[in-house]
Amino acid sequence: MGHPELNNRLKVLRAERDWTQAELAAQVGVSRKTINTIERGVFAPSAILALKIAQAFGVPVEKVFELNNPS
Amino acid sequence: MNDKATLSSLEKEIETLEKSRRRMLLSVALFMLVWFVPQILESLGPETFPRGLRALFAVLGAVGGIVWMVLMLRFHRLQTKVRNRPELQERLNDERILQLRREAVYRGWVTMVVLVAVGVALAPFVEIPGQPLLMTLLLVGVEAPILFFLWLDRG
Repeated sequence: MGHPELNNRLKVLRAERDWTQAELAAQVGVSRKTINTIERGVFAPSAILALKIAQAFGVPVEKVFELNNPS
Repeated sequence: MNDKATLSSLEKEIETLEKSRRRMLLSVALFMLVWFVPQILESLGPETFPRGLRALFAVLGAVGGIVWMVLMLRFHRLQTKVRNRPELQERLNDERILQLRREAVYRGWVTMVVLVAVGVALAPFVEIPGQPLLMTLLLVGVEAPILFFLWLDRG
Protein backbone atom coordinates (compact mmCIF):
# COMPACT_ATOMS: atom_id res chain seq x y z
CA MET A 1 0.00 0.00 0.00
CA GLY A 2 2.72 2.42 0.96
CA HIS A 3 5.33 3.57 -1.46
CA PRO A 4 8.92 3.70 -0.22
CA GLU A 5 9.89 5.80 -3.24
CA LEU A 6 7.36 8.54 -2.47
CA ASN A 7 8.57 11.24 -0.11
CA ASN A 8 6.26 13.87 1.31
CA ARG A 9 6.57 17.16 3.16
CA LEU A 10 3.19 17.07 4.85
CA LYS A 11 4.55 17.41 8.35
CA VAL A 12 6.71 20.43 7.48
CA LEU A 13 3.95 22.16 5.53
CA ARG A 14 1.47 21.55 8.34
CA ALA A 15 3.91 22.87 10.94
CA GLU A 16 4.51 26.03 8.86
CA ARG A 17 0.77 26.69 8.92
CA ASP A 18 0.24 25.43 12.47
CA TRP A 19 -2.33 22.91 11.24
CA THR A 20 -3.16 19.64 12.94
CA GLN A 21 -3.62 16.41 10.98
CA ALA A 22 -7.34 16.67 11.74
CA GLU A 23 -7.55 20.18 10.28
CA LEU A 24 -5.85 19.10 7.08
CA ALA A 25 -8.05 15.98 6.93
CA ALA A 26 -11.18 18.12 7.21
CA GLN A 27 -10.02 20.36 4.35
CA VAL A 28 -9.43 17.49 1.94
CA GLY A 29 -12.34 15.25 3.06
CA VAL A 30 -10.55 12.25 4.53
CA SER A 31 -10.03 10.87 8.04
CA ARG A 32 -7.20 12.03 10.28
CA LYS A 33 -5.81 8.50 10.20
CA THR A 34 -5.49 8.72 6.42
CA ILE A 35 -3.44 11.92 6.70
CA ASN A 36 -1.34 10.23 9.38
CA THR A 37 -0.64 7.19 7.19
CA ILE A 38 0.23 9.40 4.18
CA GLU A 39 2.58 11.44 6.36
CA ARG A 40 4.35 8.29 7.59
CA GLY A 41 4.62 6.90 4.05
CA VAL A 42 2.36 3.94 4.86
CA PHE A 43 -0.33 4.95 2.37
CA ALA A 44 0.28 6.42 -1.08
CA PRO A 45 -2.60 8.77 -1.96
CA SER A 46 -4.30 8.85 -5.35
CA ALA A 47 -3.40 11.64 -7.75
CA ILE A 48 -6.69 13.36 -6.93
CA LEU A 49 -6.08 13.32 -3.17
CA ALA A 50 -2.47 14.44 -3.67
CA LEU A 51 -3.73 17.39 -5.74
CA LYS A 52 -6.35 18.25 -3.10
CA ILE A 53 -3.68 18.25 -0.40
CA ALA A 54 -1.42 20.48 -2.49
CA GLN A 55 -4.37 22.79 -3.14
CA ALA A 56 -5.13 22.98 0.58
CA PHE A 57 -1.54 24.08 1.22
CA GLY A 58 -1.66 26.43 -1.77
CA VAL A 59 1.47 24.96 -3.36
CA PRO A 60 2.17 22.85 -6.48
CA VAL A 61 1.85 19.11 -5.89
CA GLU A 62 5.59 18.56 -6.41
CA LYS A 63 6.24 20.75 -3.36
CA VAL A 64 4.29 18.22 -1.26
CA PHE A 65 5.21 14.91 -2.86
CA GLU A 66 8.36 13.87 -4.68
CA LEU A 67 9.94 10.65 -5.88
CA ASN A 68 12.77 9.38 -3.74
CA ASN A 69 15.03 8.58 -6.69
CA PRO A 70 13.70 10.43 -9.72
CA SER A 71 15.29 9.01 -12.86
CA MET B 1 0.22 11.19 17.16
CA ASN B 2 1.45 14.71 17.14
CA ASP B 3 -1.87 16.52 16.92
CA LYS B 4 -1.84 19.41 19.34
CA ALA B 5 -5.07 21.25 18.77
CA THR B 6 -8.33 20.20 20.29
CA LEU B 7 -10.41 18.20 17.87
CA SER B 8 -13.72 19.68 16.83
CA SER B 9 -16.89 17.80 17.68
CA LEU B 10 -17.06 16.38 14.13
CA GLU B 11 -13.46 15.20 14.34
CA LYS B 12 -14.19 13.55 17.68
CA GLU B 13 -17.29 11.91 16.22
CA ILE B 14 -15.28 10.56 13.28
CA GLU B 15 -12.58 9.16 15.58
CA THR B 16 -15.23 7.58 17.82
CA LEU B 17 -17.04 6.02 14.86
CA GLU B 18 -13.76 4.67 13.47
CA LYS B 19 -13.04 3.01 16.81
CA SER B 20 -16.61 1.69 17.03
CA ARG B 21 -16.31 0.20 13.55
CA ARG B 22 -13.08 -1.59 14.47
CA ARG B 23 -14.52 -2.87 17.75
CA MET B 24 -17.71 -4.04 16.05
CA LEU B 25 -15.87 -5.83 13.23
CA LEU B 26 -13.64 -7.57 15.77
CA SER B 27 -16.70 -8.63 17.80
CA VAL B 28 -18.49 -9.86 14.65
CA ALA B 29 -15.42 -11.96 13.73
CA LEU B 30 -15.11 -13.32 17.27
CA PHE B 31 -18.76 -14.28 17.69
CA MET B 32 -18.90 -15.85 14.24
CA LEU B 33 -16.16 -18.17 15.54
CA VAL B 34 -18.13 -18.83 18.74
CA TRP B 35 -21.17 -19.57 16.58
CA PHE B 36 -19.55 -21.75 13.91
CA VAL B 37 -16.67 -23.66 15.53
CA PRO B 38 -18.90 -25.64 17.96
CA GLN B 39 -21.29 -26.43 15.09
CA ILE B 40 -18.41 -27.61 12.88
CA LEU B 41 -17.12 -29.84 15.70
CA GLU B 42 -20.63 -31.17 16.34
CA SER B 43 -21.15 -31.92 12.66
CA LEU B 44 -18.09 -34.20 12.67
CA GLY B 45 -20.43 -36.88 13.99
CA PRO B 46 -22.35 -37.83 17.15
CA GLU B 47 -19.69 -40.32 18.24
CA THR B 48 -16.75 -37.91 17.91
CA PHE B 49 -17.37 -36.12 21.22
CA PRO B 50 -19.04 -37.12 24.52
CA ARG B 51 -22.66 -36.10 25.01
CA GLY B 52 -21.86 -33.42 27.63
CA LEU B 53 -19.37 -31.74 25.34
CA ARG B 54 -21.86 -31.82 22.47
CA ALA B 55 -24.45 -30.12 24.68
CA LEU B 56 -21.88 -27.43 25.47
CA PHE B 57 -21.22 -27.01 21.74
CA ALA B 58 -24.95 -26.55 21.15
CA VAL B 59 -25.25 -23.89 23.86
CA LEU B 60 -22.12 -22.05 22.71
CA GLY B 61 -23.27 -22.17 19.09
CA ALA B 62 -26.71 -20.79 19.99
CA VAL B 63 -25.29 -17.98 22.14
CA GLY B 64 -22.69 -17.14 19.49
CA GLY B 65 -25.36 -17.02 16.78
CA ILE B 66 -27.68 -14.75 18.77
CA VAL B 67 -24.90 -12.34 19.77
CA TRP B 68 -23.63 -12.30 16.17
CA MET B 69 -27.07 -11.34 14.87
CA VAL B 70 -27.41 -8.57 17.46
CA LEU B 71 -23.95 -7.27 16.48
CA MET B 72 -24.88 -7.33 12.79
CA LEU B 73 -28.01 -5.28 13.56
CA ARG B 74 -25.90 -2.75 15.50
CA PHE B 75 -23.38 -2.65 12.65
CA HIS B 76 -26.19 -2.04 10.17
CA ARG B 77 -27.48 0.81 12.38
CA LEU B 78 -23.99 2.34 12.45
CA GLN B 79 -23.72 2.13 8.67
CA THR B 80 -27.17 3.70 8.22
CA LYS B 81 -26.21 6.55 10.56
CA VAL B 82 -23.04 7.17 8.55
CA ARG B 83 -24.82 6.89 5.18
CA ASN B 84 -27.35 9.54 6.22
CA ARG B 85 -24.60 12.09 6.83
CA PRO B 86 -22.60 12.67 3.63
CA GLU B 87 -19.60 14.30 5.34
CA LEU B 88 -19.24 11.41 7.78
CA GLN B 89 -19.69 8.93 4.93
CA GLU B 90 -17.01 10.63 2.81
CA ARG B 91 -14.45 10.81 5.59
CA LEU B 92 -15.07 7.46 7.29
CA ASN B 93 -15.03 5.63 3.98
CA ASP B 94 -12.29 7.60 2.29
CA GLU B 95 -10.00 6.24 -0.44
CA ARG B 96 -7.66 4.54 2.05
CA ILE B 97 -10.55 2.58 3.59
CA LEU B 98 -11.92 1.63 0.14
CA GLN B 99 -8.44 0.44 -0.88
CA LEU B 100 -8.08 -1.57 2.35
CA ARG B 101 -11.48 -3.17 1.74
CA ARG B 102 -10.50 -4.24 -1.77
CA GLU B 103 -7.19 -5.58 -0.50
CA ALA B 104 -8.90 -7.45 2.36
CA VAL B 105 -11.48 -9.04 0.03
CA TYR B 106 -8.70 -10.06 -2.38
CA ARG B 107 -6.63 -11.63 0.41
CA GLY B 108 -9.74 -13.37 1.74
CA TRP B 109 -10.38 -14.80 -1.74
CA VAL B 110 -6.77 -16.04 -1.98
CA THR B 111 -7.13 -17.67 1.45
CA MET B 112 -10.29 -19.47 0.28
CA VAL B 113 -8.61 -20.66 -2.93
CA VAL B 114 -5.59 -21.96 -0.96
CA LEU B 115 -7.93 -23.74 1.47
CA VAL B 116 -9.90 -25.36 -1.36
CA ALA B 117 -6.65 -26.34 -3.12
CA VAL B 118 -5.39 -28.01 0.05
CA GLY B 119 -8.72 -29.82 0.35
CA VAL B 120 -8.55 -31.01 -3.27
CA ALA B 121 -4.96 -32.21 -2.75
CA LEU B 122 -5.91 -34.12 0.40
CA ALA B 123 -9.20 -35.54 -0.89
CA PRO B 124 -7.70 -38.72 -2.47
CA PHE B 125 -6.02 -39.63 0.84
CA VAL B 126 -8.36 -38.35 3.55
CA GLU B 127 -12.13 -38.57 3.76
CA ILE B 128 -13.37 -35.01 4.16
CA PRO B 129 -16.95 -34.81 5.45
CA GLY B 130 -19.12 -32.44 3.41
CA GLN B 131 -21.06 -30.56 6.09
CA PRO B 132 -18.07 -29.50 8.26
CA LEU B 133 -16.12 -28.64 5.13
CA LEU B 134 -18.84 -26.34 3.77
CA MET B 135 -19.26 -24.69 7.17
CA THR B 136 -15.50 -24.16 7.43
CA LEU B 137 -15.41 -22.60 3.97
CA LEU B 138 -18.27 -20.27 4.91
CA LEU B 139 -16.53 -19.36 8.17
CA VAL B 140 -13.24 -18.62 6.41
CA GLY B 141 -15.05 -16.70 3.67
CA VAL B 142 -16.57 -14.35 6.24
CA GLU B 143 -13.71 -14.21 8.74
CA ALA B 144 -10.74 -13.79 6.43
CA PRO B 145 -11.72 -10.45 4.79
CA ILE B 146 -12.76 -8.99 8.17
CA LEU B 147 -9.52 -10.02 9.87
CA PHE B 148 -7.39 -8.89 6.93
CA PHE B 149 -9.16 -5.51 6.97
CA LEU B 150 -8.55 -5.08 10.70
CA TRP B 151 -4.92 -6.04 10.27
CA LEU B 152 -4.37 -3.69 7.32
CA ASP B 153 -6.12 -0.84 9.16
CA ARG B 154 -4.15 -1.37 12.36
CA GLY B 155 -2.54 2.06 12.06
